[in-house]
Amino acid sequence: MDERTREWVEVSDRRWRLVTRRQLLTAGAAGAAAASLLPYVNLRAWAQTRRLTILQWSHFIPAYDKWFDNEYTKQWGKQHDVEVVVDHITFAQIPARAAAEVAARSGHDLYQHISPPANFEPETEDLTDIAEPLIKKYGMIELSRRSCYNPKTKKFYGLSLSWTPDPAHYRKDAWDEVGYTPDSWDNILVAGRKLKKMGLPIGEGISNDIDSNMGMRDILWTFGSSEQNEAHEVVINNKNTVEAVKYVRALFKEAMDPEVLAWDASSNNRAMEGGKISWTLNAISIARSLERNNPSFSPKVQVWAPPRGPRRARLGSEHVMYVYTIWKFLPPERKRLAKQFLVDFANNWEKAFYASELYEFPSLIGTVPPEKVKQALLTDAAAHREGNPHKYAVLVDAPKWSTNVGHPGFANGAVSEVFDTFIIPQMFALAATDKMSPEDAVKWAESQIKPIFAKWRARGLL
Amino acid sequence: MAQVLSVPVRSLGASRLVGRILLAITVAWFVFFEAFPFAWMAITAFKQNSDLYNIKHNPFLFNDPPTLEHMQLLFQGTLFPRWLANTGLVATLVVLITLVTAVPAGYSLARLTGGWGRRVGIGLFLTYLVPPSLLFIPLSRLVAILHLQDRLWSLVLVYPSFTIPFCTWLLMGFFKSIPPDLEEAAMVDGCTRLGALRHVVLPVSVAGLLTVVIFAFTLSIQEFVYALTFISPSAQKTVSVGVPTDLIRGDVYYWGSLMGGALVASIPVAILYSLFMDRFIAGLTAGALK
Repeated sequence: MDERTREWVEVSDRRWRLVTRRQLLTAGAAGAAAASLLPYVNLRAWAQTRRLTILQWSHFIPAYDKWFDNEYTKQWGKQHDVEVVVDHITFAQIPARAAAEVAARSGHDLYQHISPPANFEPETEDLTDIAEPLIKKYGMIELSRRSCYNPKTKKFYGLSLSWTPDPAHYRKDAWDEVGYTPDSWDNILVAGRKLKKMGLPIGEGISNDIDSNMGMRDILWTFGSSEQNEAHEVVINNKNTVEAVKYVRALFKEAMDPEVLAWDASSNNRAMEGGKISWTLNAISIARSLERNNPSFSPKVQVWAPPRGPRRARLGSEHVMYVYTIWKFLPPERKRLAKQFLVDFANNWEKAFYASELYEFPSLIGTVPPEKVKQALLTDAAAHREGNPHKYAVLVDAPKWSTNVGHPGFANGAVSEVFDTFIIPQMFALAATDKMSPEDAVKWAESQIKPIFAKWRARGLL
Repeated sequence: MAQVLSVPVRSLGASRLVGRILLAITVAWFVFFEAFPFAWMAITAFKQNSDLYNIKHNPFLFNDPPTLEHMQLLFQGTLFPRWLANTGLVATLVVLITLVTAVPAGYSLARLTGGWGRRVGIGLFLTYLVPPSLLFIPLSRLVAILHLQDRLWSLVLVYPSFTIPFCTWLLMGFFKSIPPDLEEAAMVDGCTRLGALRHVVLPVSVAGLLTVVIFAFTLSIQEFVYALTFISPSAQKTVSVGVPTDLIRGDVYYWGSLMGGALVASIPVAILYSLFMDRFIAGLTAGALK
């Protein structure tokens, strides 16, 4: 065929065009050349920067989220040429969302838990390579170390940069009237009887919620018992536990309202802010809310340490244990970036301390030295406005009277599962409502806890 | 000769009056019961916190002057308008997908499958009873595989999994209540089956279709578990997830803004129900009876 010979070529659906062979060959060559260049044109590259995604709870202090999302992460991202995206979730949904990300093998680069995520250890990256240098540099308080390290596997399954203490809030005016301070569980019961008659019962939840998990453990520990010992063996069934259960039964019947059996995490906040109870255990969210929402009522509510027990000096659970984890299934580059962020955040954590309005305390001691923490607590502006500069002074010693879930041992997958299934509050509730005797309730709890521990031991994580 | 029992006219009138009073009391009770949540939301949305938390104050009155700060926080301190838009978009698309799928499915099961249609219809309905708490984990894997995580399209894909079964079952019952003679007459006149469906069946099925629209819309806007699991960026959230995420912080509930959010989000649904109440009830009962 010469150049003038043409052929019909279908150029599109039902459209034909007469072309010469030269035109046909030229068009074909041009198309092939274009196609061969495609692998070198990364269409995403020029639109895509590096990205770091973080999931955290919606902080009780809204200003903290504004600072973290819009200032700190933006600055960090600019310095490292990384787009940092921070997403938020309610605290109650953290475990469910984590399970979904694990199942999907897709999720955020950094995942913040608010209780020890030991049950996710098989899915989390070992952070020993960043944790140990940070601990060497700053030191870490023991309760935080026991909340993110597994001595069996020798793995830091997460990294804790902060935690929140769980002091008591009490109506000082009412307690002064009955002539007691809430310094011991015995005082709580004796004064509680009188306060209940005044219409201000004690407010400690005995329900399936996080506050009840913490509060009931405080009682268990200060009565000389625990769910596990230092060797992570189940030891809950003993006479001290029975005594603790009997105490709670008496407290429930004589000093509390039955509604505590149905409380959620916000119930004691509302009850104290509404002037319905005289004592509860909670982070300082109650005090801070009152300072903002009801400044005339706020001075009546003061902060105190958790009570002493008959067998142990005061011991309170951490209210929140912030632990960042990195999923194992993420690509190496994303894990590396996430670790870099964690290290930088740890080195700058003092900013977070002030942004949290003293809600969060440092896990790495040197990030905010104790004297600075003390100064911040004693010079709190809101406390000074109320004419009580020592309102938060009791928190200065918080690291001394606080401990981790799983005390006296480490937090682990079994303890996390016991925590998440509310076995301890249920044990107390069964006896408090006379559904079981204290002895039977303790046996029931043991029967629930032992299989859980056996399961985690069989997995080699305990 | 049978005795005619004569009832004094005065007694008849009295018993009617008593009946009406009882009816009025019953209706008033139900009106109060149904309207109370909305009234409570409206009052709380504009009440100062110090007024709300003071148990000595009458909760149904503004003991302190009302405030707009909760609504300001809702509309300016959160992405509430964006969440409303996201919810509306997802719900609309889900309604369309449900209609396009459930109408032919319901018609087929009602007309073309004989005895098996009823069994399949029940089986379809039973899938609706599987709770999202069982499905959210495997579905999150599917969403990740399809690269739809953190996108509204994940909800558009997943929500029909519970709207279609129920609506198919509902429409199946509704189509059965329409005499087949109507379509047969149309087909005798030259219509295809599809044409008969379009020109004859659908126009008389407006009540059923509206029921499907309202149900699918309501189910979509209130869904929580999937919306929480598949979407985490705040700008992509729907109202059911965005409102609790931003307005429940730790153990502190921003009750005024929460109630404001719930009230504003329920207004479109309330309007929808009010406008089509009669047809909705007709659609529901016709479908249920068959």
